[in-house]
Amino acid sequence: MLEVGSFRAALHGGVSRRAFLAAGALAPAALGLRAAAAEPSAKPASVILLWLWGAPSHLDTFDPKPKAAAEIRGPFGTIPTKTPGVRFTELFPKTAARQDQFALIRSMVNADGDHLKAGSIGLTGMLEGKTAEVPNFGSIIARHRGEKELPSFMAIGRGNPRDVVGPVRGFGGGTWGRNYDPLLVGCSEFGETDIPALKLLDGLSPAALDDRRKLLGGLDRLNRAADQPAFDRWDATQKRAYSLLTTPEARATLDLSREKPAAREAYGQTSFGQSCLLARRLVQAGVPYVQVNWSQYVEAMTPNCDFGWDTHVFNFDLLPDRHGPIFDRVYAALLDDLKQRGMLDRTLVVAMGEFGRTPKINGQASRDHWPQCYFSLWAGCGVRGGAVIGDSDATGSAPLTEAITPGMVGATILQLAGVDSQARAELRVLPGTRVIHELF
Amino acid sequence: MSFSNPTRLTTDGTLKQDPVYLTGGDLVYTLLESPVQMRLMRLKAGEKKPSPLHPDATTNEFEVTFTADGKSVAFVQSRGNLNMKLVLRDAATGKDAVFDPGGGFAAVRRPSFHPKGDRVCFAIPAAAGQEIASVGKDGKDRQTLTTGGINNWPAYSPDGSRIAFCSSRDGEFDLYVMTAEGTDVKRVVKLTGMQARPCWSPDGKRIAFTWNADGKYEIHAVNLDGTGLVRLSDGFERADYPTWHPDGRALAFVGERDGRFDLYSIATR
Repeated sequence: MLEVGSFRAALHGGVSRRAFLAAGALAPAALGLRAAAAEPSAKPASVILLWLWGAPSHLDTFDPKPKAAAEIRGPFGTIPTKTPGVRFTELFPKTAARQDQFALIRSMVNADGDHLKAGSIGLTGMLEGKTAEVPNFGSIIARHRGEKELPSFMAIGRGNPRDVVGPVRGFGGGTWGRNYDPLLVGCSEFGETDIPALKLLDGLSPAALDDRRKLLGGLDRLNRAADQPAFDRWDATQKRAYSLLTTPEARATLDLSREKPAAREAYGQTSFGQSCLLARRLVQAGVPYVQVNWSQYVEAMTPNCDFGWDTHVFNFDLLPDRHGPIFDRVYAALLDDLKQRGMLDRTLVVAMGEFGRTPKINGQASRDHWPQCYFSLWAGCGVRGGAVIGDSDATGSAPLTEAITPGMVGATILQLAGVDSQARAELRVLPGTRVIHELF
Repeated sequence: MSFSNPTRLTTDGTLKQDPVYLTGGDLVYTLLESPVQMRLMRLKAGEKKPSPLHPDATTNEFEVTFTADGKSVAFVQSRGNLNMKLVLRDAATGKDAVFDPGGGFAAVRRPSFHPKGDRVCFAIPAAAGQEIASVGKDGKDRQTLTTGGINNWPAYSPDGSRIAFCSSRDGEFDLYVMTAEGTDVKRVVKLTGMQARPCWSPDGKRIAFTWNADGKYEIHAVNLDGTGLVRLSDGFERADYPTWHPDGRALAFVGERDGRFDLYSIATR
């Protein structure tokens, strides 16, 4: 265990390398982007997806309806943002102060109101994701770019998104195989990281890797193990994880103690906060797609349930108590961090859940699932800061403007990440959709 | 009212909430012990290291409240998927009574024990909004105390005659006081920004509460007639969950500094 400032940070199975090699330049004209906006993205963008699993209420966050009836409006006040005329609820002051740095879409629509089905559509952009295993955006990027020294698709969280029924289908490569699944990394509120795929390998507990001598000893044991026939029985995920562990640069990237204490403190001592810091480090080291899961008991309240933002009960207690303040701090810290490091022009940050929540407050003084209207936040890569794309009606029930779909989200992410329409066609993904050009 | 520089009582920085003082000056609070375990912790007066209040608990327990004599305790216990029940425990016998809000997605939160131990009030969803209700110490005889709006964070006054709470009945979360029977509801003060988690001074003359003033949660205190509003916290990224020491000379709360959550105490004079 490393001690840095007031934070602990464990060095565990590793990740990272300087390997972000462009897989081909974007074609700004094809994107229809403003030239000035497209220019910084001469190289394919890296992407951080903040996956707000469980589905945040759009009315209680970034699309409040202060003039609606009480049973719609809810109990939170609203505050102005950096953009005149645009208001958020009072739970997001730091985010509001940075609205000039990101665009807000208020006309998102999903095709299903079930977490697993909508989640799969949301992460793949494809309606068939409801019932079939189609690849995640990150898997598509990973296949297009190929495996470099670092995984092309990494996910941070205690597990892939799931509910009490099971995991979301679209978490990984689907029928393309496990090689295109995300390499999952856990990150605690103390910044301790671990790779679940390595937990089956002897001698690789964090305690065994807390100094160089023990680390080398652990690796020796691992190498001996790797010479054994047992290595052949490891699955692809374990082998990928192992190959990372043997790379010093990769291990270093997972070691959050290498960050200045002030940087770590800015994100806050929550698992979501430190996970987002880790996401920035991974992108900095060359990982093109990182999905941070607000799921698998992150800041949870009920056991045995991947609760996330699924606030069917006590929505108006949980949001001001936990979800709002945590998200607000972390999102602001991430934007500030990327901006200060000059990374925001080549890193796309998208924050969204799988759908919104019911405009009318339910019998549990909360809100249920509402795929007919929700929000997403977009920053970086030439996205117009301060833009509000689309609008919802007076109760947040439906878009007044063209619906923005997960397919359009996927097309935009992939286009910026270097997977253009021709490449998507060749991969047979996301047909019949378009880039959200209004963002640029 | 003036106040002192805060004294830091815990150092782990882990998410914590809802501290309450016991008569002897011990603090009991909720700690996010692991991603799947919220645990009630007890920090004895003058000590640095807390210990579990219920070491054998395996389910999430939080939002604890005690009778004035400390002989009975109530808390919220998570027993299933989005289902939280109210447990009323006799500290002497260890015998539990339970108020069960029902199956499925259902919950009770923010309980407050009547100082004499006869009843517990709490927040519970209702057909229209969320109400303050109370039950006897056997978990039975539910009585509705409020109607309309989202009502939350009830707190019995030290003499048990009144309840402070926050409500959206007039729009946004504001601070109110009513009788213990739910009558004579009065808004204490009209402020812009959410008010939450009221707690009474031991003499029953003032209420400390969290106010989201200018986008920042701070601890404030106010007289019952709305006069004497004063901010008690300073220098925190978030100051929340106030609880008044039984001797009235100090107030503890959860303060967030540098992204870390710890208990702090300030002297009040």
